[in-house]
Amino acid sequence: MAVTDQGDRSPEPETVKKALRLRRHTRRLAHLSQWPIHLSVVPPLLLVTLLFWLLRRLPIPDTVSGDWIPLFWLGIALLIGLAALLTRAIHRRLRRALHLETWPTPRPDFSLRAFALAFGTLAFTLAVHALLGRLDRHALIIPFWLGSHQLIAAWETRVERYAVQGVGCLLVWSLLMRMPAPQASWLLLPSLALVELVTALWGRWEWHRFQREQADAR
Amino acid sequence: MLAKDLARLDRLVHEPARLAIMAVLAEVDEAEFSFLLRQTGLTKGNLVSHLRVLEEAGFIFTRKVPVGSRKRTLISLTNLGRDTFAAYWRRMLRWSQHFADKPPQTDAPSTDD
Repeated sequence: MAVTDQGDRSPEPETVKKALRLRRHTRRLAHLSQWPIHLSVVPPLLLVTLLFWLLRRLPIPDTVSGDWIPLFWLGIALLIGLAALLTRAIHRRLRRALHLETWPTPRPDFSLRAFALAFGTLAFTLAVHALLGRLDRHALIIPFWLGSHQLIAAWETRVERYAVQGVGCLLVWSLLMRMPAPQASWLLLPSLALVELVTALWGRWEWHRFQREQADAR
Repeated sequence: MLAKDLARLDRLVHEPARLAIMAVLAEVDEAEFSFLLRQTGLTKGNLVSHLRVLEEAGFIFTRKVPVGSRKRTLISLTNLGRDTFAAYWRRMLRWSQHFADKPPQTDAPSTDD
């Protein structure tokens, strides 16, 4: 410890660096161990697709317009809520089955910066859709927003699977934007399920590679 | 200004082992005892004694969860612990910036030779 002329003890620069390294390492490790979340989201996505397919048999118009828009968003919000609950339940079971429950979960970021990031990427998404004259393609806002958000998350956390997810979502978005609207809507969720599956596989590989590196370092 | 800042540094958090424990806990919801042991590199006895100090200060909360016939000890930062650590961290970063600008002087002349 360095001592000032007042006789106080100041933090050693090495202690600061060590604590900073420990924080970064713990954050990365906590994020890496969460890879089964991408696998957990696949069944709810496919289930919702099936639900849409069943609903299609009811006399509901293919394209969402006019009076249907509020109902569409309400339905989407409800479905997202249910899918999130199901995902959480599957994730818990998967972590237990894969012996990952002893690894900590990262602390959710509710900071002003996190909200600014979420709203910022959403505004960016809406601006891109507006520039392309495709604001009517509501459902395709999801992969573009998720893709750009996850690319920033990858840069912040240095977790590769987030980059894979981000690129995958943007790829899905660009492919579906070229398709006719009804076809794109029906293909959206299965495409996202495929992206999540690939992300999970990458995440698993990244996690095992990280553990091997740790073992070698010891 | 910096000297005043220094005087306000929380001595309880300032100790390197406790700083390491709180740095790990700040990044996660809650952590298992064995995880903390691995991450901080402390011995079991050392970790237990530092955790006790932090718990008495109200900075951490420990709970035991039964898993089969065994019990897992989960440790998390309390709101007070998070606020204290955040304040400490801000001051610490200011100090590290200060050191980066001006390398610290040696405490006393070397007596080795």
